[in-house]
Amino acid sequence: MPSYVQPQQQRSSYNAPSRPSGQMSREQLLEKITLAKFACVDANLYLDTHPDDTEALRYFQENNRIYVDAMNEYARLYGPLTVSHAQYNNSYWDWVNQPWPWQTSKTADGR
Amino acid sequence: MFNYEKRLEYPIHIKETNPKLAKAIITQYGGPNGELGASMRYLSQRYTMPYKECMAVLTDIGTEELGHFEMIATIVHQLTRNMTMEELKESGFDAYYVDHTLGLWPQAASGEPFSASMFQSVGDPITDLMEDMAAEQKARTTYDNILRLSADSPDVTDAIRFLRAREVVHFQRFGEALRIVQDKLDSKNFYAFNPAFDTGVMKDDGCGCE
Repeated sequence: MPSYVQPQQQRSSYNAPSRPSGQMSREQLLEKITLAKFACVDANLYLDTHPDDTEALRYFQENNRIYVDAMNEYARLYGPLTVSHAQYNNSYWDWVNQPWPWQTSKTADGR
Repeated sequence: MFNYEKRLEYPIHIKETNPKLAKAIITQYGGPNGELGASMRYLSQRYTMPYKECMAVLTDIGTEELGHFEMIATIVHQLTRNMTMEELKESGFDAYYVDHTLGLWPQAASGEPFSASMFQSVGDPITDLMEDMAAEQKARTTYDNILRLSADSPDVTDAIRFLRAREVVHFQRFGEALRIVQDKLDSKNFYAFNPAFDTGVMKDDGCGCE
């Protein structure tokens, strides 16, 4: 494994939701998705040139599982992040909803 | 086949308005060392790569670069979306504004429009991978230059540092892909033939597709 690949770091969004109900906030869940998916992307590129590296493969699969589950949970609670996740709203095509990714920061663009 | 995820690869929250900085950063949107050129270069080269690892790495890095293309657009958009007319004129952003208002259009900082002339797809795996390694270094240098220009804007430098780090990793991956190509060729003469064209003499790479 390349040296810059760190073992999973302890971050609050990975382990401990802050709400009493056990539900992560939108921001926490999005952070979890961002971290897990980035680990997958990095491992993905490494595996493309080292397809025999079973340690890297295991690292990918662990993080991919976290990513897949978090994407489904996010879609259930807050709305779809891919069109394929637009499964939970039966009255409105919520894929169109904001915020779109470039609309971060509270400004006058309709958030 | 391409899919889209409704989030940025790395978070960007820019609260300031700085059209002068946007004029420089747009060069990574449509300029010679920018993300669109990188993506189109890799996605174009992958079709005639004779080895599966190379097809994979070009596809996957080309795809990641589209995510970076989106990040640059977000940075330029957030730096310009709340401009006053005074800021617009003072910064020199008026030259871009007159043709594009606040819209994103792929061009270099010089105003040169994006063009396929900014990249190559030569159809020889050694040449193409050398081009790709050079491209990643060009991007890395451009991000170094942007970091110097944006040193007073930590929201911006945070995102730029991420993009710069990814270029260094991509350079590493292309180096490995080049090594894979060389390993499959005659070590006494890598240039004996072009494995992307002279298919009759290609070593079987075990993919079973020929």
